[in-house]
Amino acid sequence: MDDLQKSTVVALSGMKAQTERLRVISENLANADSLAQVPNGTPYQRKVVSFKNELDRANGLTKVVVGSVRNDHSEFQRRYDPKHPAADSDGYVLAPNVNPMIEMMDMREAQRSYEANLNVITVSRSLLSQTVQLLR
Amino acid sequence: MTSITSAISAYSALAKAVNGDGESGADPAAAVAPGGDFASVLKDATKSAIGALKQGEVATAAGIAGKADIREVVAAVTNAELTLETVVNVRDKVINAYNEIMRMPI
Repeated sequence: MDDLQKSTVVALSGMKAQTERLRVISENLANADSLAQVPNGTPYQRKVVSFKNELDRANGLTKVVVGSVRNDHSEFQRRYDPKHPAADSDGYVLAPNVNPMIEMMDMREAQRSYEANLNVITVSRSLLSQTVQLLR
Repeated sequence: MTSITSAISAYSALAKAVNGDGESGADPAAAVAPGGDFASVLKDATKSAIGALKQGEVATAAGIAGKADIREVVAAVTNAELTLETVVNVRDKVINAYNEIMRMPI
């Protein structure tokens, strides 16, 4: 395989990894208000994605894949809502440890990373095509 | 340089085929075959192009069915397009060289 095509393959793996990250971020954001269902029950727990490099022996490339999607074990927030069925004796309900601001920043980072990979593909594609055009 | 010599040999093979028209009515491919490269290179290139195009088609079908990643579809189709472009350009180049030799006053 041509090196320019290889770089396209690697960039594609990066894009795929970033989309998975974006999916997890969207899960976190969507569940930001998924409170506990029973008193002292656990609400939605934030998930974090970690990437790892993966060797593609057939082509001699190092791609990126999603290593694992783990739960974030940081402390839950407490929300004062005495009317909620899962409220404890003090009137507090456990809320997910999701901070929308952090998720937004993560999302922006995923977007930028995706775009960077997209640019790699655009450049290598245009270089390949220009090289072929030399034949004319 | 090799393309010129192979074009020349293809030309001579064709000339033989034309001259010996009466006896070798059956198989022009066999007559061209000793000229070699020109035909076989074109054939190989076409084969690889067809393979890439088929991959693109398969990926597109899978994408429409919702089974494939949209990025894989894009990659396969782009790859097919590029291969086709390359083959077309090489063919034009080779045929141009061939025509150039055919026009040569001998």
